[in-house]
Amino acid sequence: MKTVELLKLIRLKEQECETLINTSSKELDFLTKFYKENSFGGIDGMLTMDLTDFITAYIMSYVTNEDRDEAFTYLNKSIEAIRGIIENITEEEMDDLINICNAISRYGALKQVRDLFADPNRLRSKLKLTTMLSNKVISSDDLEFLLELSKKEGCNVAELFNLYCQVEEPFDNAMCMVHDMKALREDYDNFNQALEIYGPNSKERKFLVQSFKDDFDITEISKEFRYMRGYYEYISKEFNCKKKTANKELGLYRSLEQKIVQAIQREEITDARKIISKIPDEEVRLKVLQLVYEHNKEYYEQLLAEYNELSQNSTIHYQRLLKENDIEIDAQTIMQNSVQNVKDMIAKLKSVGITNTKVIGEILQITDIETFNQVISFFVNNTLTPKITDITPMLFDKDSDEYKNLLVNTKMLKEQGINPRNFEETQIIFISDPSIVQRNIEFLKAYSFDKSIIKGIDYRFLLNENLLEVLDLFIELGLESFLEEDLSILNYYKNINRIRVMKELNIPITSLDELKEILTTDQFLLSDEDIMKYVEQIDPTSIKMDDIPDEIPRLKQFESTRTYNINGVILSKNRVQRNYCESKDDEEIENKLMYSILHTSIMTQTEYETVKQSLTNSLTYK
Amino acid sequence: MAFKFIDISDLTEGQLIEVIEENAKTAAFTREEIRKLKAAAKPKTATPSIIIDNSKTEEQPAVDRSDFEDEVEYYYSQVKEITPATISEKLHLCVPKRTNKNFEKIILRLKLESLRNIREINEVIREYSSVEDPEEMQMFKDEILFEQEKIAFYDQLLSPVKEEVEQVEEEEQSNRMIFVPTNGGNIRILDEIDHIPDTFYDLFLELFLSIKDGSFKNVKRFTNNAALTGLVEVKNPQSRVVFARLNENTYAIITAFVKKTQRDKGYLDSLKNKAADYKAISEILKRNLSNPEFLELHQQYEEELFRKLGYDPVTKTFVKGGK
Repeated sequence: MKTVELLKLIRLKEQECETLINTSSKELDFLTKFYKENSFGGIDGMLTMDLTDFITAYIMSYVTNEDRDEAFTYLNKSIEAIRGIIENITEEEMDDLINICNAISRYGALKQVRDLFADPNRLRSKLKLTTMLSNKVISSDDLEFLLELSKKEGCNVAELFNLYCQVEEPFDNAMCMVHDMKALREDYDNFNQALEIYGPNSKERKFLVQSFKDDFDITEISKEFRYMRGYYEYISKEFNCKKKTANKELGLYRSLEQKIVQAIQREEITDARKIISKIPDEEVRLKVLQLVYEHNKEYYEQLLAEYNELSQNSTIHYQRLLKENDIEIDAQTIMQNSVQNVKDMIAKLKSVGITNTKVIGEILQITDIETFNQVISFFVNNTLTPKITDITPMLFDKDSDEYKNLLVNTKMLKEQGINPRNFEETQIIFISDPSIVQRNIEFLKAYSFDKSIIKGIDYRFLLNENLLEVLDLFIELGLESFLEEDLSILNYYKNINRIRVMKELNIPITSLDELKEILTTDQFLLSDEDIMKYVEQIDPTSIKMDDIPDEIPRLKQFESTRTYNINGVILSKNRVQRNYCESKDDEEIENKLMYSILHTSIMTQTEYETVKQSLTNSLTYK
Repeated sequence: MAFKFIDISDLTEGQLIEVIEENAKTAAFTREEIRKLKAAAKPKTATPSIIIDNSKTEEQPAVDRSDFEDEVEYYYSQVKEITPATISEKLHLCVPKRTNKNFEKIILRLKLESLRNIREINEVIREYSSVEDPEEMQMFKDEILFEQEKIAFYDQLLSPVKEEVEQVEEEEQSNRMIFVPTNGGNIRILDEIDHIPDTFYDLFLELFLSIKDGSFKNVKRFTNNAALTGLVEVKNPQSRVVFARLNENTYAIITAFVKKTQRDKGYLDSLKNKAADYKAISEILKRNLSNPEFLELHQQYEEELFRKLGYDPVTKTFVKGGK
């Protein structure tokens, strides 16, 4: 049952109610008017009553037709057709007429007589009537009376006989009562005429009139009046009751309509019984229930689907999965992902070599499938190795810095044209602050060490916030070629001053292995805290700045790829140029050349003297 | 409970109401089950416990350099006593033997000390260069020359060419041990060895041999206590031999013991007493170094010592059942 169909049905019922409410009863209207205009309390009413209407009212109280209005219309029409007879004939004539009709009725010729009187061919009908009735049933005088009566206005004798055919007994009774009322009226008129000798308002007149009324026996007729009145009240009550019911039902259907419209807005209709509780029509009730059933069914099907899906992913399935894989964590901590997803994730982790069950558990607790798939792709393409999960599993958490850094760093390396697999030994690079990593890679490029970014070395130095200074230091200590061989020596920058000690001792470093040994041994000649006591470093404040002409181009002749080699004293070209850029616009720096050379330098006094002499003796460049 | 999804076209009003109400009950039950499942599915907050911070792996654990530094200090203290006049005689006696495993490192440290000294002198010269005092300037220059002479000697030692020659010379030299007696006249060391468990003998033997060959294992001078000034110890974990230098190649062996803890007050007090006993007779011992009989006697003591320790110094092998 669709909502539209049900609403259509309800509106139909509403229309029926409205029709009933607006329908009037002709019979009832007639009777209401009749009883309003006529009183039945005593003789007075009989004296003034409309006798034709009385007959109609009387007969209707005995009619049992279902369609009252139809019956009334027919009856009223018929009786109106004989109004002339009822109103105009005398009491005596009425008496004769009743007898005539009874006689014909006893003869069984009512219908024939009716038809003959209805026949427009009067001559033929007259003959037939004469043949049939005269001296057999009624006297020829009576027949002549009928014939004469039929000629008068409003005296449809055919209709009279028709009434006897249709409703013989009540009509006959009504005619008798009319006869009695006519007799009463004639007697009363005659009596009143006799009382004219008394004044119209005289006591005697009134007394005599009252005595007349009191002597007239109206017992039987009153009885009939009461019956008639009772009938009228009954049908009046019934009619009003029907209207009231129709009004009530109309209200119920309208309310039902609203309830239906509101109910179908809800997911589930739970008050079906209440909705249909006062609806009188069985068909409507059934249709409403069908609608409720169908409406709710849609919702229940969704509910069932949701339940099935959730029960498939209930805790017990997770627990089983974790147990199968020896993962000892609380199942409830991984239920943000479906069972199938968790199963897939475990399989994928194992396939890329992450087999530590504690690590797997940690990952499952913090990740979601989208983030997981993104991160695992780095393992699949060998950008990342399982080692990184030993550092932290947090890179599988989309809200973590490690994850965000991973995405930024891998993208940045790609943009820089660097193969991420070069960082196989230093996976922590991927999850570290990208700003530092990128900046340091750019420094390496600026120092032309980008070709040394190869696979297999330890890149922890890329996380050093002071890598620029460290690069300068290594270069100025003459370790440029070793850097080209293996950038990982930058990781040991904290021990770089040991190289200065070796310089002090005039011991050359001839191989990368020897350099690594010096930088990594924990049994160096000196403790790291004491080294600076044995290493000379010039104090720039002790330098007289006007010793050397302030001409930057003087450095040109000493220039190589990364350095200025001033007769054995190596200066980092980038450091000097950086210092020069800093000092260019600073008016407080008198000798920009010397500032550029000395600022953050590790030069010894001897080296300074060498530089000073070399620059002083060099040609002037413009 | 299951939903009733059926053909309702033939159902009466009463039957249909029954179906609708039964389905409503089933729905309420299902909703409750869903609620329970969702509540169970709500993940608990989990903080991973594995977060290994490798950012500080570069920092090396503190290394105990004290043994090496003590050794350097031992030799440097001897170098510091040398004057320009005695450098050629004595400097070679102030450096470790080549057999010392730290030989090269110690020599380089001694060289660094000299370089440092030169630098400091130059700084002073620079600072006071405006003050014209020829005598003082000459003094500074002499100092520099002195240090440079030492450096030259160190460079020679470090040079690979000389090594073979010096190795031959060193093999012929061996230090002499003089054993300090107790107040009662016994040789303290010999008494002490008798009371030391023989499980420690190989450790003590190593220490005595290092004194003999001049390698002075883990040598350390006593500097923090006035009562122990001038005394030196060689050490293994838990074993110590305390001695003092009598001359360039002769050492007075004062005591030997198993050391349990650095802060053993009993040990320190005992050592002070023994140091006092030694100091009381140190001059006598030095005077007797030219007495052959004295030296012969202490040679015998030495042989007895090695015998007790289960060592044959001639064959340089261990003999079982020492004492």
